[in-house]
Amino acid sequence: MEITILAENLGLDVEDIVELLELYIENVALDLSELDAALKAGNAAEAHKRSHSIKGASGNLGLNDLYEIACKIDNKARINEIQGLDYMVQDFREKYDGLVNEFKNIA
Amino acid sequence: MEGISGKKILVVDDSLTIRMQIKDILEDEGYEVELAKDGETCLELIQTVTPDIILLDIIMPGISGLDVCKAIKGDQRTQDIPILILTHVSDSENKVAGLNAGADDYVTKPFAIEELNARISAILRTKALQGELVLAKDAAEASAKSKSSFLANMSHEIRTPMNGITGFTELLLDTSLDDEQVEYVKTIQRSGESLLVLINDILDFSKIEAGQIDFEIIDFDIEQLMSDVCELVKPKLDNKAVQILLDIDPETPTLLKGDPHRLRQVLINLMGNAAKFTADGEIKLSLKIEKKEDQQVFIHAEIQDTGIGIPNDKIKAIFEIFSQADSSTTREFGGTGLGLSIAREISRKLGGNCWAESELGRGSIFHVTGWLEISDETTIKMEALKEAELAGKEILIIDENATNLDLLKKTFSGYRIKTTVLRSNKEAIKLLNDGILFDLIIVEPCLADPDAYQLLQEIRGQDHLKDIKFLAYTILAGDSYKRASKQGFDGYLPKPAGRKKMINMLRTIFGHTPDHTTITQYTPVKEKAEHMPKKILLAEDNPVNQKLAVKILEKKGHSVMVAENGRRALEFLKDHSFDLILMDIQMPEMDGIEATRKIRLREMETGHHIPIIAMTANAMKGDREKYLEAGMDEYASKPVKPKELFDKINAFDKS
Repeated sequence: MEITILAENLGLDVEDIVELLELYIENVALDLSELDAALKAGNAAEAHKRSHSIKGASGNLGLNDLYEIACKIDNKARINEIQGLDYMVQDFREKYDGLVNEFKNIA
Repeated sequence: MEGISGKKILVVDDSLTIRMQIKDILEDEGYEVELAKDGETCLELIQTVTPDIILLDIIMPGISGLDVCKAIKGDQRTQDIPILILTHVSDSENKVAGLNAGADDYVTKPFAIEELNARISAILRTKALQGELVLAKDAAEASAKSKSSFLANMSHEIRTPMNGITGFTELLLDTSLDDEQVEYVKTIQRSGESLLVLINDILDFSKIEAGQIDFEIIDFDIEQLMSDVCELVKPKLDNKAVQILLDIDPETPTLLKGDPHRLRQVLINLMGNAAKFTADGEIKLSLKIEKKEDQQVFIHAEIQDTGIGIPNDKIKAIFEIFSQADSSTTREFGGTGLGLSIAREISRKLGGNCWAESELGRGSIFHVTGWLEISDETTIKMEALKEAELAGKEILIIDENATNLDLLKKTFSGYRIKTTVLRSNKEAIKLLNDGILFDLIIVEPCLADPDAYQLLQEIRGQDHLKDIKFLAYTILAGDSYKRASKQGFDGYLPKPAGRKKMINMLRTIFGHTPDHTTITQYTPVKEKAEHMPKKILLAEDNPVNQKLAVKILEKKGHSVMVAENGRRALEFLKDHSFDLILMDIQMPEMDGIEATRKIRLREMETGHHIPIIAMTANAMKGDREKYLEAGMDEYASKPVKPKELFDKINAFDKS
């Protein structure tokens, strides 16, 4: 994650990106826990809602790695295919945790 | 005798003579008789045969009659068999011990035949009645439960047409009607809304009764929730001189796990009652963490008001179903009286309770307790790091409400902020003239003589005081924000703000980054716009996307107002004018398509046309047509590409 590049792509300042990432990290944490719960409960509609939210935020911020996984999760959840999605969510979570650690060191 | 035939009696006695004697007597009466010569045989026998009554001798070799009695009454399978003990006339000790061991009655030896028969049939009558009662109780419970679950299952069917009625009444009000018609439609609207509240209460209660209530377990921010509850209750005060205060235990974890909707329902209910029954004074919502165990906290919320209070003899009854303190209350204040029963049921499901204490004419305190889990999610603990930013700041707080001063003082002490509190602006001017300096002054613009604006001017006029920051913390509604900022305040917060909002505001004032977005009011132009700056309404539910869009748009000189769903967008459109709407498609409560349809429907009356750009990731075939059909003018894909978005926004420059 190169904050300056993210900032440049969006035409924003580095401070703005830091602020947005803080908010992103916090919100995705919530979305992820609800996504987990939805998958456990077999609730595809809720899983779609949550993954859609994660996808939107990741894409808009230009976090491409996270966005791509989120897209895959959302595409499956949208058509009620939630079997095996927990592995993808695990994959996403690992990348997300990486981002959180990286961000902690930078900000 | 009726009912005797087929009744089986077990006689347990070590004396063969007595066994045979009783057998003869009872068989003459028409009973079927089984015999056992001691306790052991008796206990063995009743495993396979269930007698209607047992005649039990007390003093026997081997297991005594008392122990046999205890064994029978202690076993779930045999405890319902009535026991009649046989004792000697002189043995009063064993009569008592037998009854205490669970026997139903006794007969003394030597016995009269009539007495024995009378006691046996008395016991059999009682037993028959008990059986009927159990059946009747089971039937009544089953019937209540099936009614409740019928209602609970009907919930959707009832709510949908009611929503249709209230929704279309609202639309009807936007059409051209004469005064009389408006009055009629408004009556329909009010009636519809109160009916919907009643229905929702009844349905909720049926759900609880039918055991169909499910609790979600999700992470939520309880402080935010309580602050939202205060916001929601404010409009119910109808300009009464009532202040709402919020007091949250600093020990409260940032994120808890549980069902925020149910908790919100309980708090809104109790706060709504407080608002209803309080004519002046204050309503305080506070939260304490009473216990902490492993990953759980026991929360205790209190709603304290200065309202009319509840008479002592009614205070228990108000929690019972379909009860209000006074049936005339229903007529005066409305409501089903179910709210408190629902609140209590929900609290109990959380392992807590809901109760009240009150003093007539002085006010009431309602208590809610329950267990919630502490979230194990990785929350970013910026809080602790940032606390240091505010440590050592000196703040002067001026407010006439003592509780408010106490609350702020308590909040700030957790951040090692030094506070001085005063009850009037006059005292403040005196203190400042004595040479005492502060980093920030928090004032209530409602105070008079002199008012906050005069205080501000007085201070700004003096060179050594001009760096002091000013925050308006007020019970006034949102419109006063503009006035406050024009008058030179550095910040404005509506009461009650809660700890997080207040601390975020201080961070902003002192030049640090706040934790969350506060809804951006019309913000000043930051850069010269290459194109015409616009007032944009952004309808978007995701906080990250909200903030991002606001930042990008403000950089280009546009001003942005954020609505978190379609319904809020419609509300904003009633009171504000905008040049353009950016509309997300998937939103809770009301999605972008429905909102657009409603906007266009309203516009049929006014003849205006506000450009709406759909913003969505749903780039499915046919989606574009669907959006255009709903009345949208343009379509921008997500993820947002700033250039594409600006091109589309700028295309509306001329129109």
